[in-house]
Amino acid sequence: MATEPESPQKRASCDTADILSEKLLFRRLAIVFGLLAAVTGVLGIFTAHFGITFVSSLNQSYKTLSLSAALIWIFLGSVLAYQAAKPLQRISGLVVQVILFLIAAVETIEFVFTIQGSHFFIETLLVGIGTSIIGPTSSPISPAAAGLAVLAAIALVVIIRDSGLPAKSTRIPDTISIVSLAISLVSFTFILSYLYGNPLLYGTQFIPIAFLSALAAFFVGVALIAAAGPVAVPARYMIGNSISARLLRVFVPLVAYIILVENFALVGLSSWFNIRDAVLFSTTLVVFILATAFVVAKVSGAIGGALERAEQELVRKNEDLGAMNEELTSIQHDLQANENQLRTDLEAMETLQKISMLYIHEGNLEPILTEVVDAAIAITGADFGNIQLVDPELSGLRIAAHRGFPEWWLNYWNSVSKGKGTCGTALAQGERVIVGDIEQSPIFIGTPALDIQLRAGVRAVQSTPLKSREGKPLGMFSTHFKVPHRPDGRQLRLLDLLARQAADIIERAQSQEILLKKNEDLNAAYEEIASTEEELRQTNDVLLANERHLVQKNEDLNVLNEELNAAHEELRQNIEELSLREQELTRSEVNLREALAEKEVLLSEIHHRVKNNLTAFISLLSLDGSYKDTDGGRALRLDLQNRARSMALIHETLYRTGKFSKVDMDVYLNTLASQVASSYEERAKVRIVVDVRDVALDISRATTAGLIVNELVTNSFKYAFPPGFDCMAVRGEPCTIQVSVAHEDGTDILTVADNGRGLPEGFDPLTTKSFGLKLVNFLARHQLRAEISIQRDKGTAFIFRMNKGNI
Amino acid sequence: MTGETILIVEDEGLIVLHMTELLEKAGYRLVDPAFSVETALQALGKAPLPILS
Repeated sequence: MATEPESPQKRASCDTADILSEKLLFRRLAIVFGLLAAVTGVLGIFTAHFGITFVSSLNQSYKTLSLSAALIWIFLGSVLAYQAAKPLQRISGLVVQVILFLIAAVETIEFVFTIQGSHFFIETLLVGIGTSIIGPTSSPISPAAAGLAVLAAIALVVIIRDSGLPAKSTRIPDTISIVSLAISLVSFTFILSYLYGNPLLYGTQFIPIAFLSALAAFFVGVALIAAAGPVAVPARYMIGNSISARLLRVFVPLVAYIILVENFALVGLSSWFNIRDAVLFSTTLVVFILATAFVVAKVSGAIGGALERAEQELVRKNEDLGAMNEELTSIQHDLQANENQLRTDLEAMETLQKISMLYIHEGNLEPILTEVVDAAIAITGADFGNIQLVDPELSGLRIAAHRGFPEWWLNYWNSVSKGKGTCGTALAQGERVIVGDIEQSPIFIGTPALDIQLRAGVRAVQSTPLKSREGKPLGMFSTHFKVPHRPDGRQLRLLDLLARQAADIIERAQSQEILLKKNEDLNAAYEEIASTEEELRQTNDVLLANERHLVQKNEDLNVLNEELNAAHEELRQNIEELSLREQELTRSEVNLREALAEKEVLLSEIHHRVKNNLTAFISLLSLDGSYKDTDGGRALRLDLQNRARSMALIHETLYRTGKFSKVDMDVYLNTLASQVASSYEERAKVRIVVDVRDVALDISRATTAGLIVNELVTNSFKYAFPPGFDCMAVRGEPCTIQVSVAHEDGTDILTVADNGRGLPEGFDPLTTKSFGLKLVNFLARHQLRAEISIQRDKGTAFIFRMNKGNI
Repeated sequence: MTGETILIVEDEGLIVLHMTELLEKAGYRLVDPAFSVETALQALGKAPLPILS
């Protein structure tokens, strides 16, 4: 309830269950009164029809219920009851609202009409219908009834429209409730006027409202108030458990009841006894005042008594509560103290547990030990604390962690050696030392340590040695107090626990340090292995790549090898074939060689035979003695023999040199020149020079050239050097006949020259009748196709230019 | 028969020389001798001669 948002309902009540039950009650009230209104309307029609005039005992001429009013009250009552039992659906709700609006509109118009003494046509129509249903007593609606109907219809429209919507404020329910209250009160006034026998509006210009119409309007009004709900005024003030609501619930109906009873009684009695006297009225009034006062006093007494009892009960309970509260407070104090103690211990234990879980190494030793110091400070309520470690180099103590000390204090104690101060003493004795007040302690009195401690604000101190599990001293665990103090047994036990923990931590850190070192070595080794592995892996990759490469190469090679094998096979076949051919060739060559040798033998034999024939012919010439009888005969014989020799020599040269197609001119001309010279006596003083360089001519031309050379050399011997011609004197050199063959631009040049006396004046060797020169001339031109030129400046020189192509 | 022109076709110069002498003595007119069939045909192409039957 307290967390819910502030709402109007909350102000009216403080209990949800009450609100729910009240809502249910109001809904039931709305149903009951709505049904009552409808029944009243039906009853009105029936009574009018059967001529039963209600309250007829009072006056027979009272107005009967009009048909329009009856129908309106029946409709309104039914809708109210239905809506309260089960809210209307959207469509049906809309239809009902439209009808209600129509009713409100028609009755507003009728209200205006009837005040002016006339009627709206609908009312006239309904009166007509009423006459046929009810009878002659059918009457038009009263303006009072019309007005009440209009208000009720509008209120009902609002209720239907707002049903199902969340309530935002109480303004609309309040308004409905107030309007409905007005309807109820007005109609109740009309009812009362009937009951008093002096109904309203009779005798005026307005049509009075029928008794049953007023009653139905009253029921409708009450139903509307109920439908507005418990949250609307005035119901809102009368529900809930507040005293004001209770009092209102008692007094409002009570007052209404008393007034009503008093009025009825007064009117009834005065009518019964026919009292018209003022004294009697006054007396009766006094009696009723007294009765009323008595009733009110009784009721008030009852309520006041109840209230007093309740108050006394409250006071008593309050007292009990006070006592319990005090008891609780004291218990709570104890609990608080215990809890604080427990929390401190728990925190220290949690710290210890947390510390024991930590990964401890040299690097974070200080913060962890600082936490141990903090835990010790928390447990013992100390103001300072520190943990020192045994320094093997100093053979003393070094502060590893502390809380609350200034720098200079730390520096001083860092340089303390065994036996100094509490910690030094504790280290020297190997057990805990407690100094409750350093100003009273022999450890400090008369030492500079006292001043140091006092300057830092230390008045009491305890030092607990930290030992390894084997009992080796590791360090010192000290807590310090600003006031003289001795830790109690519990604190010392906890300190022992902490000291054990600290010692374990230090031991673990030192072991850890060794482990770390080993781990680093291992890591280095691992890295080395990893790097070697990496190298191996890379080498392996390279090898794999090489292997792949080699495999590829191998495949290529295999392909090549196959190709080579095929080629090799082909080659082998070729070789075999070639070998066969070679053998054939060898055989052919052998045959050819044999044939050639045979041919050469034959040629050699033929040339030998021709030479021998010619030689035989030369011999015949010599043997024929007829030639030697005359000079002419001898000369002719010599010429013929020389010419024949020149021919025989050709054949001899051929078979001697072993060459049969060409004649070696060097060999041939040398031999020829010697043979010619041998037949002349002049040879003794004439030098023959043959200069032929590597010239070979075919047999035909060689023979021709041989004849030419023979003729010209013979002529030179015969005519160039007559007796008495001194070559040295004339030419400045020995007598020389020169024969040479030279190459010049593809032309063989044959020269036969002498440095003798030269040709006679006017002698043309080309036109002479001399047989020798004629022969030379003819053979040279026709056989050799040579150009002939003659030089006469130094003896005689015949030059023949033989064009090879002309042959 | 006198005055007839003769072309000697012979590759042996001495024979040509001998025949030329004999034929000139016999009263024939001789043109330059030919030493091969080719030169003979060339010579005939230049100066047509009655062929010996």
